[in-house]
Amino acid sequence: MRFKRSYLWYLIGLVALLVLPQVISSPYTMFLLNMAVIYIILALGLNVVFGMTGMLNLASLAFSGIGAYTSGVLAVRFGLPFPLALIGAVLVTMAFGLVIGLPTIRIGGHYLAFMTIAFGEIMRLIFQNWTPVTGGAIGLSGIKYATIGPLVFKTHWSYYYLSVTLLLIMVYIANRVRVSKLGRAFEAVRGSEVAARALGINTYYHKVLAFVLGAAFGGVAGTLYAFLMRYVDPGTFTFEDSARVLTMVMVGGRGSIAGVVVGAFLLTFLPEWLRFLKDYYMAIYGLGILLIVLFLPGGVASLWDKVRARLAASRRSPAVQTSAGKG
Amino acid sequence: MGSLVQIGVNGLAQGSIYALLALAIAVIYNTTETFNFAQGEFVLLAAYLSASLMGVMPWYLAMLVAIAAISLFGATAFQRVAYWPLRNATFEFVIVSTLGVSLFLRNIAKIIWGAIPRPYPEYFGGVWRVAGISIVKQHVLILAVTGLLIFLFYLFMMKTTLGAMMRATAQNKQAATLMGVKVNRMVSLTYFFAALLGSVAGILIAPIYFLTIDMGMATMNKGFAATIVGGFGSIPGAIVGGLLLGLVEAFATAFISPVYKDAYTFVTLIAILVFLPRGIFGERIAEKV
Amino acid sequence: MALLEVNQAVKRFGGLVAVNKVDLTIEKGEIRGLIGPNGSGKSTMVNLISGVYRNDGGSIKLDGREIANLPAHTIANLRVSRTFQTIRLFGTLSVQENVMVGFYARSKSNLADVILNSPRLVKEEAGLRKRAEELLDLVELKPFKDQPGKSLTLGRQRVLEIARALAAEPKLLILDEPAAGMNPSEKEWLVDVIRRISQSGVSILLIEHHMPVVMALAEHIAVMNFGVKIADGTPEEIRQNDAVIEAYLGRREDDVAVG
Repeated sequence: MRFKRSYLWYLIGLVALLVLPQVISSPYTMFLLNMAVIYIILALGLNVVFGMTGMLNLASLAFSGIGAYTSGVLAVRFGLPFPLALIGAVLVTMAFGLVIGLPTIRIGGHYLAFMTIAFGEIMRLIFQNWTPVTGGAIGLSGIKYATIGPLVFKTHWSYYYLSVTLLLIMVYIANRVRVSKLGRAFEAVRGSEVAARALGINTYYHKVLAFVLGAAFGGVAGTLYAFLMRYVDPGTFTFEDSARVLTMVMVGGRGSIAGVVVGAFLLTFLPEWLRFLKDYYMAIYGLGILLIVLFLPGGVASLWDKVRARLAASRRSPAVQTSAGKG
Repeated sequence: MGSLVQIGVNGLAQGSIYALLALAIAVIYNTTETFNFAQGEFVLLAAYLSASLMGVMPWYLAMLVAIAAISLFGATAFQRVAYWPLRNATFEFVIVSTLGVSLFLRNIAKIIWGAIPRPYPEYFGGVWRVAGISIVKQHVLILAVTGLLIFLFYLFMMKTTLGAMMRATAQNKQAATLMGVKVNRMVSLTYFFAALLGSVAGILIAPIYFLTIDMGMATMNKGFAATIVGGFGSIPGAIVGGLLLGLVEAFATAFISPVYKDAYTFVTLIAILVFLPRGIFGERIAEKV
Repeated sequence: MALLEVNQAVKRFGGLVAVNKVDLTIEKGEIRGLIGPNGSGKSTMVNLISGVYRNDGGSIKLDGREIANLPAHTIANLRVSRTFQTIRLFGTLSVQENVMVGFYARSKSNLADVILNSPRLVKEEAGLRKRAEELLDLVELKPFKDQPGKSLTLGRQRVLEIARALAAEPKLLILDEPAAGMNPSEKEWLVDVIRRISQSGVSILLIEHHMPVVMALAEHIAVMNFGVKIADGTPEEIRQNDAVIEAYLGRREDDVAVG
């Protein structure tokens, strides 16, 4: 019963996603939509690492940067088409995830968060200064339009279909992980490592696995970014933006895939919707984040749960509404 | 030899600033077991506020007023909004809430003072030449003020009842509460110190760099790096970590290349984490059974 | 051969010797009691056997195989399951999912199965769901299966931890103070549940504070005080043992309450 209903929601969402570009005429809005997709993928990756497994990774953008530069370099210097550049980028980000994850995760706890900050800063410096490979401060340009066989994704509209396809694949993977024994193991690690171990779960292995999986999401997002911009700017992959991805997960509701999708979408568009506030919009945006953390700690996902509980209660009987609301 | 001393003084001065930030981070971590990602905004606000106040009052008064204002802000409104409501939540919540406040404050500062970097009024400029060595006066000031501040902080923690209460809270919150320590007062005091240390750092560092909207962020990141190097929650660790990073940066910049100035910090960081995973003075962190 | 043989186990914390050369044997199929005042080293023993702590001396043998200092998850995979004195449920998972985590080691599917949702995985998941329901039925928690684990009452959370540990199909089940915080009727329920588990052939090490529960269940009881074992025998022998009575003397009323 629960499963069927969730499939229905997926179907509605899918149709909406496919129809959406048809009602948008502004290239800038389409561009933002593509950016939203990229952020959603990043947030989904962080959701595996942080939302499910409980490891605070503050270097989401470092992984997307590695993905963007890898695919960019593969495309520009080796002439690889989009699909191969994508695969290469995913493998390289996963390798980075493994190399960074193995030593840092053993230390664990609050240290991990800071290790990832340090990692993010180091990657940023490498992007900026390893000129022969990354193009240094000028960035990496000359990326051709993404192509898959005969298909060429030139406009933001056509590109959207490419990015949404990848998004759906990533949502599918994230959801598979969540509802399977792997997701349960991740959540167990988040809940109590000692108890997880007592049930035979190798927590270290699972934490590294989650970290590497999360990195793969960064690889996909980075590749999409590189081919969307057709240029990779070293100034893009900042700590602040990584923090923004964390905020998307928290605002959406950690652990909830639908919540994270909504959170990432909202936070990509919110600054645009707040543009009428002119100079104040970033300040209001910061304030908004604070308010959500204070008053909706479970994120948008918990709001949805509350509404559903309320609906269920009123459907059952008006008389028990108050008691059901409390319970 | 002379240049070595010069580089050393330069490094120690930089390192003192990092140490002040790391100290603030350690104080907050000890009392609240979480982090304040808006710590850099105290640096930023104090620097800009004091620069503006210098238009209407003498520089030393402007500084004192700015430091007092920011410290009180940290102890009251800031802490009440960004930390207190989340004191029982897990530490990530406070990270995100302080990130939100940080964005808010930085952009308010941008609205008030503009996005264009500008010089800080020089109040203690110039260079001393002693036996062929040139020493920037501001560096000496930084060392002196930091030293004094750390000494006073030490006295406060070790010799006063309030300091003893703070130490008790850091060690065992429950026991401290049972002994009659009021946690909310300790939190206020903690954030007062954090904001005080941050704002002093801001005023000390502003003449060396320009006033920029990102100066707080940049300084805070170094403070965090110093925290990791020194070890979480360790007061001596914060000081040693900060000074060490400053020295590494100064010497590496002088002898290797200035291009990777920021990279040296993080390379040090990685080296420390590989060889001394819990920092120089760090403790083992493990889930209690 | 005994199922578990602890020989001269030692655990030190700095200068403190929490467990000092303790022997403990558990026969197949029995309910073994381990009691002692607060801080006597009972929980440290549990943490030694289950691999949470490193053993500082002596040996711990499961079916004749040395398990001391193996990683906790390896020991768990040798079919030693445990519950915790301070409840450690997985807060974000439902009651049923909590139990399903316990199947982890028994599950055969791999990462590819998970991503591709292979028929093998679908079948396995369905089987596990059913098995989880059966286990929840056994401990009378089935009506709560879709609730978050943390929403249960304290007593039910403790029993859920037992069900979760059972899911790993243990040979040895270690219960670390399962009756703590339970009201009298919950304690009766607990005794009933433990008896049923024992009847299914699982050996049980029961660490308890509440004497009536241990006395009702255990065939043999070991008593610890200040890190050493001071007595070992049948409940009747323990009741009359002078050292035990002395160890419990002067303690608070609820600790001494021998049923």
